[in-house]
Amino acid sequence: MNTKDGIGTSLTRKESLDKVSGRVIYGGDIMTPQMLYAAQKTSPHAHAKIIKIDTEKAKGMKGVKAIFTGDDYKDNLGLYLCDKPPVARNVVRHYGEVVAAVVADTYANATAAADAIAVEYEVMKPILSPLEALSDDAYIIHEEMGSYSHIKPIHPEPGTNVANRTKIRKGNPTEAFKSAHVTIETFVEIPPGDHVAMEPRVAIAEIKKTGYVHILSSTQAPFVVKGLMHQFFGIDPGKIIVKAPLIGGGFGGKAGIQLEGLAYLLSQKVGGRPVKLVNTREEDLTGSPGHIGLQAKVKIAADAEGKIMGMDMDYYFNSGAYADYAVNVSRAAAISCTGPYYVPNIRCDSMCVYTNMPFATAYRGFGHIEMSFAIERAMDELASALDMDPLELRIKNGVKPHDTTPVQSVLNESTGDIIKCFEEVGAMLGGNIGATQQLENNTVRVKGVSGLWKAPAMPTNTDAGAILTFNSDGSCNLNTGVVEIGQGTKTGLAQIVSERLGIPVDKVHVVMEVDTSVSPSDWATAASRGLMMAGMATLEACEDAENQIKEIASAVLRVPKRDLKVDGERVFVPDEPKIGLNLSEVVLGYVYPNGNAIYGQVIGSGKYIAKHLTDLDPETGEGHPDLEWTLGAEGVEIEVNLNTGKYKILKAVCCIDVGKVISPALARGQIVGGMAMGMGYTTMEGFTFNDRGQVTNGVLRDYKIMRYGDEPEYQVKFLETPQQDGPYGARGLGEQSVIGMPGAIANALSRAVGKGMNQIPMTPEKVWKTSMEVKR
Amino acid sequence: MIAYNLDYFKPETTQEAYECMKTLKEDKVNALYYSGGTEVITNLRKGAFKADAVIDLKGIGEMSEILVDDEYIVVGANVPLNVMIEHSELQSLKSILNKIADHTVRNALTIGGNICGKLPFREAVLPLLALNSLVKWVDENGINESLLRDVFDKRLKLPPNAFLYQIMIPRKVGGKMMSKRMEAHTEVDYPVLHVVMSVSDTEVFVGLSGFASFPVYQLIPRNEYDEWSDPVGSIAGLFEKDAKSDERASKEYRVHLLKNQIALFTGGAYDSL
Repeated sequence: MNTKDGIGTSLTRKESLDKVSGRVIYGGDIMTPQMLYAAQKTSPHAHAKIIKIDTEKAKGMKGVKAIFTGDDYKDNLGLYLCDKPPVARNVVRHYGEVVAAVVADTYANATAAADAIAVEYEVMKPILSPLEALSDDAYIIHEEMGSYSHIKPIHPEPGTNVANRTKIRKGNPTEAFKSAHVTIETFVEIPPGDHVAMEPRVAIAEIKKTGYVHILSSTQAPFVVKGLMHQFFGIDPGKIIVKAPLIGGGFGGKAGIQLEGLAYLLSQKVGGRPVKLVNTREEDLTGSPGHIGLQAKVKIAADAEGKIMGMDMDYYFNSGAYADYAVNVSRAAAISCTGPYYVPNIRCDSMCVYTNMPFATAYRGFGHIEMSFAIERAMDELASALDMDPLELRIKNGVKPHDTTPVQSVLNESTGDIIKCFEEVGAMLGGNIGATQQLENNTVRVKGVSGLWKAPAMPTNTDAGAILTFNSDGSCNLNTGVVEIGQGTKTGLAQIVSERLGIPVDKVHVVMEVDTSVSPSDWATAASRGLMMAGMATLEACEDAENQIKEIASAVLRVPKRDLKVDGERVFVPDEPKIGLNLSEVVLGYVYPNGNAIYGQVIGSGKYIAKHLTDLDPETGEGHPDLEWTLGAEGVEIEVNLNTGKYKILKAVCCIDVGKVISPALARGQIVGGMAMGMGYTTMEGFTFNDRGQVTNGVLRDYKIMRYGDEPEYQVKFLETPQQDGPYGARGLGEQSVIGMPGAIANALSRAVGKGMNQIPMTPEKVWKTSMEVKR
Repeated sequence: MIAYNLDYFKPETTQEAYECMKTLKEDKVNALYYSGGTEVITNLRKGAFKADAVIDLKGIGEMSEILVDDEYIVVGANVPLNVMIEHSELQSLKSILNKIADHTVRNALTIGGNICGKLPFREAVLPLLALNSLVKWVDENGINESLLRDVFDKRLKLPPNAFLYQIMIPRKVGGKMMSKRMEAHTEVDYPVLHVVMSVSDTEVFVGLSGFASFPVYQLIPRNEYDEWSDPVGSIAGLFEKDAKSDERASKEYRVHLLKNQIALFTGGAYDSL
């Protein structure tokens, strides 16, 4: 076992020096001979019929090779529900939707030609909220929903604007509400917004004359891209090669299929030449998908002691113009719909609703951040109604092993200790959560807490793989299908190999790029389970390699395999260490002094597939879709100036049960990063619209995210209740810390002003306005 | 990227620059002067405005200099804000200037560009007005001089084709200058209210940026100001009708923030109810 730099130590990431020196080549940097460049034209209208697209002038402009419009491709693409044409066809359904693409010899020429395309629209009234989309006489945004193909777990409702409805029916909620001592009701709202990853999306597609299709993309899911290209375009899977280089941030936004389909069609139009399609920042914000919005109604029923008896909720998720991942986001929120509390009786309808707004894909938290905002606000309202401390209420109701989830699966021994998480958060904030501290100048100091949990909502056959090969010096190369999106998983996996095989971590070389023709299959780098699943596959590959090393050594040393140990870059007999070989002598086959060579190279392979997962019953939601649950608690301390509404988050704390910390610095970085993202999400992000549905903050000068100087003091504590089927007991932690932030911040601000703050983003003006309402 | 070609000129003297613009305009060419370029480049890329030709004033050397004489600090219009912020004689302006944009942008953003650009904030003009600075500009007659207060009304009003050359800031300052900048949320953002207030023996200056659709200011004779029983209400009353509502803040919030801040500056009373 390598204690020097194996698990539990913090290391510089393997790719960091190249990243900070500008030596990494991202997709958008690539320029090759023969490459052509594409530019997009987007719609200024949120909802309009396309009457005419005049490309005459553009066609004749310098360097133009091809122009692509909706008429060039008659079918739809889609991840779970095939509802989206690659560019708008006959109708635009959201502001920023791509209506045409130009391919030219330079990007400047393509952009100039795109400017010269004239589009005639017939503007229609846009639908700008889920409730509006669900009203009786609402316009049906997808009239052909009945003909869209979709995967089985999704239940669209043709003739309405509901792309998916997930029902949770557990116990007898009607009875629970009838006999409750207290019931409360809360309504919350979140607008759609964007991931704002540092790197805008890019896809480069080429169709070789041999029929091989090469796609290079800023994707978190190269194998999903491969699978869908086969499904939509009928290309043999073995002839699709998808490459994912290092990615400049994904946060879920790059986890589906976006530009790849259009890039392929553009390449097809120019005889298969490589076409590079890169989003401008504006196109990345509103043209490509962002994160989902929500309107939610939550009712909780409790007894006199504060034990929750039942919950009743409606989640109206705002999917925007297309469904993409959003149909699964709303489903994931249903699976977790109560937050990390034991609730025996539940009625929940979680809907994915179409509107004429920029559409949604996966985002950090995947439905849980939105659901959590609704539940945590309701929990504080309940605490208020019961005159109970908000932390005490949560401790009283936190889930424990053997409790059933909303989908009636049973939480096993690998369940984190959320009660302890709540206690730690309380301690980090100095207790007294419900108190408001008066300072001078009409300023107050307040605290807010929330609970969080998440299970990945993945297909039941989610998998990962790992291949280990070796070099002449005994070092090894690890090849997995995990994409490096800035989360540091590649380094974490190297630490696992280092720990398992006793090889120093700088001698574990990790292949950075993913290439679907040589990397083992991996569902997607998403759902915070890269380290867990690829980690398990990696451990299996290590075991396989170790077995082969022992096989060769056994022959050479004339010692049974069971008497051998692999560690410290050697294979040897533990009680007589002189009897042994250096790994370098063995890993590429062994050569005897007389020249005879035996065995050949060591190649370790490992795989992992999720076990025993099932889908949900369409009527009750019962099932076991949840691979593992990560639980935690968060809290904030905020100072609010009630004169101006301006506030500063002084402290943000998180206690999360991760099973095992593989790399402390990496783990803390993920948690703090998630908290920062959650803070920006709650306080300043979200698209703003005018009444014509146009996004009015679609540039970074107006769409504000957290900056240095905005951050609070962070405190992070990890608990380690082992995940029994995780590598070294580890479970997912990459995204969870974003989940509890909106609830914690909103609860603190609500306390400060004396009224519920239930709308995101929580700007100082909103704080001031709400406190004025209270005063009057 | 700016996806089309345009003509680029970089004159080396003020006369050359003026003649260049005059000729282009006579030929009906859509031409712009520019200095730092932070506004021109971003807006040409976005398509917010178009230009067929740009005249880069940075070739005129003296416009990038700061000179100090007995009475004035003479700042060339091309001097970047960061250079002003670091100048020992201009420390009184530091706390106002270093809130504009962010540090990296201020390496290029010039004082002339901030005052003469299309963006409606022009925050750097407020302390210059408060200090009763002079400006020099170039037009048909060569270099002209006047009080800034005489040629600034919402924006700098110069003759056609003229450009701002230098700003002369008085060294002897009579009054006390106070300022406060407030944003919708995060600090690196346009202001929803940037108020500069200066009280001297003879006058009281109050100037606002981000409050209306352009900078607005009022000068109140000191003796009149001293008579006011409700300075907060009286000052706010001068500006209330100009308040705008936009994406960042409503008119009501802006007026409230103004009253709140004036109360803090003057010690006057303000009950927000």
